[in-house]
Amino acid sequence: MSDHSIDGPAYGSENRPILRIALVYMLTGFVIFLIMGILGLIMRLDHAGWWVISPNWFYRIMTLHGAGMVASLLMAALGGIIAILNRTVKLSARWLWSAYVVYSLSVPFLLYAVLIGGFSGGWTALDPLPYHGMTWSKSAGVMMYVTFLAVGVGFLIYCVHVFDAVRRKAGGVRRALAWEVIFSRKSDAQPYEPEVAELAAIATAIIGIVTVIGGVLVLVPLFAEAAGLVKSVNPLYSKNFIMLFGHSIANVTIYIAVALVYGLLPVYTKRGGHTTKFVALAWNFTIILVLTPPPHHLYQDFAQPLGLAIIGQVASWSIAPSVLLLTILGNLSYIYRSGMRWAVPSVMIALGFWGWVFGGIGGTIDSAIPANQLLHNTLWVPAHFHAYYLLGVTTFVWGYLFYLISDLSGVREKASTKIAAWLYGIAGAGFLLVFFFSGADSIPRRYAVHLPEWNLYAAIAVPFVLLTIVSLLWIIADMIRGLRSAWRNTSAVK
Amino acid sequence: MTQKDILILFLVLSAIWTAIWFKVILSIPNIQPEEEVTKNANTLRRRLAFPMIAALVILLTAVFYWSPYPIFREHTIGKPEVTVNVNSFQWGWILDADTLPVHKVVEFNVTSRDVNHGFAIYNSEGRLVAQTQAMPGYVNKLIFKFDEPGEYTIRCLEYCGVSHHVMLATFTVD
Repeated sequence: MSDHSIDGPAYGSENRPILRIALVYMLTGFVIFLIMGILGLIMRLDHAGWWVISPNWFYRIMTLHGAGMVASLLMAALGGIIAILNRTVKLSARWLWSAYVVYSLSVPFLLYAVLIGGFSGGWTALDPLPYHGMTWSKSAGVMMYVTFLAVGVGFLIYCVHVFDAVRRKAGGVRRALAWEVIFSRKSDAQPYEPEVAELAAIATAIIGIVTVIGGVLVLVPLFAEAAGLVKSVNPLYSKNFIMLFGHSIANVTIYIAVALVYGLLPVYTKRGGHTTKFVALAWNFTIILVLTPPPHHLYQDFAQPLGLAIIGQVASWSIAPSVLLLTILGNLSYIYRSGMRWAVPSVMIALGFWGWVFGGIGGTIDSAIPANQLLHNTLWVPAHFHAYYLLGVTTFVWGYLFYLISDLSGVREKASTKIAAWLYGIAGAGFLLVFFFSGADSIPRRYAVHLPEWNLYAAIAVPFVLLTIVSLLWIIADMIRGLRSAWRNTSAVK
Repeated sequence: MTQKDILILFLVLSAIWTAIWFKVILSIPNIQPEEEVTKNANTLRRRLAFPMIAALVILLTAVFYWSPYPIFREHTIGKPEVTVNVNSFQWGWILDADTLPVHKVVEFNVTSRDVNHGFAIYNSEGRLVAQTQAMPGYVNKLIFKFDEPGEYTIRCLEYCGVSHHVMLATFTVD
């Protein structure tokens, strides 16, 4: 073991199998992420006019890329939080393996839908398109929704188990959500202070449970339609619930990833790690702030009741002060003048905070209804969420994976690998800036064929994508040295 | 407000944020006790909270006033003088007018007969000027006034299947 482990009863014989599960979640997510990244590169090569593929295959690749990225990054983030929770909360290997198996069933379902069924309806599979695709059968559309179901049920199993485990340890949901910390006065007895990871885990589990319920509310009528029990589903209803499910499952991923930062920063800064009133408030707000903005996806559906657009707008903008003043400022104060030790994970954390806000600025602007009128479904939208994912989620999650393998194996990183981590940030920022400029130039998203005057943007983006791949390979080359040893150290028998 | 204004706002805010971020990163070697940093952060938080929330509340009012919803557009642009019915299908547009008057308030009644589409109007320079969704079973009313004559292109901005990118139509504003 290295000398910078997170405090806690780590790596005992009892919790080693859970750590193996955590590794399996993270590595599965990582491998799928890499493959999906290559698919992303292919799409940008097509946009640059350098490797033209048929629209049919472009949209299939686009569907795989979107669904694969969202599901794999959530799974990897869950692996990270499992590893941290495992130090203080008793988790069940059986529950976590069950969640993994059910969640992973989504892979063959998705592959069947897209590669055999020819489904290319996009990862959001917006009803009524999946059953009226013109170039694929209804059964392929059903299979896409079965993919949703597998991810949803797998995630639900994880959420229910983690909710219950954290609640049990705390002796109640209110205590687990740190309400005693939030509402305590100086004269009160010492309030119950959950670990930050526990608080984050139960908050995100609650979001997960509500999200999956939202998914069920749309999947059941859609399956009923496929079975011929109902003629059709109201498209405004289904759009609202598909967006609730899709947006929340993608959005909660970044908050789970941030929970890993709370676990990691004390290692490198010797600061933080306590559930202060601000930390407690931030995580409680997170529950509301992930679940209420999805109506902003329907700003351009003027038939939507105005009240829902108002909720979407207010909720989307409430994120900015809450995240900036509570989460970002809090974490920056852990870094500011801390003497933080530079290593691959701490570089990734620093980059992650930069990228998260960068994407947040783009998202906050786009969530203003008049701006959305000019940006909706242009490349500005993928610019925003790719910033969240590429420079927020992945830097936090792969930073944690790197730490975990190094910590479990005792294999120290090479000093030069930090260069690769910085390179990842620079390449990511370049790639994202091009996306933002493309969106401001009104280039539509989800277009298989770009006009010749749009090609230049993608041509500039491609070298940045290649650079992210090179930097990741560089990081992998270092990380892989400790992988076998880390794997052995998570064996139940030792 | 155009996309150029939005891009400039985005770049300015991103530059400010990047400067703050660099300041934090460059401060790392000059160690200060955690208690002092936390105290300063809490002070900053208290000072920023009210102006930030107040600014957002004021901006929210402006956002709704300038929103594209008919109830607001009738006040900001005027009552519709011309009506155009728009139907959409995989993969095409049907408009009951191909020439529209300049400087008059036009109301587009947009719907779809199959899946969701996005009714997006691009001007002759290729800039998106207005949009609404085309959803089966619903009619979305888009109110817009064309200040520039020329040929406008309708693009689909809601993914609708393998020929989504060629779902185009044009009309003239004269």
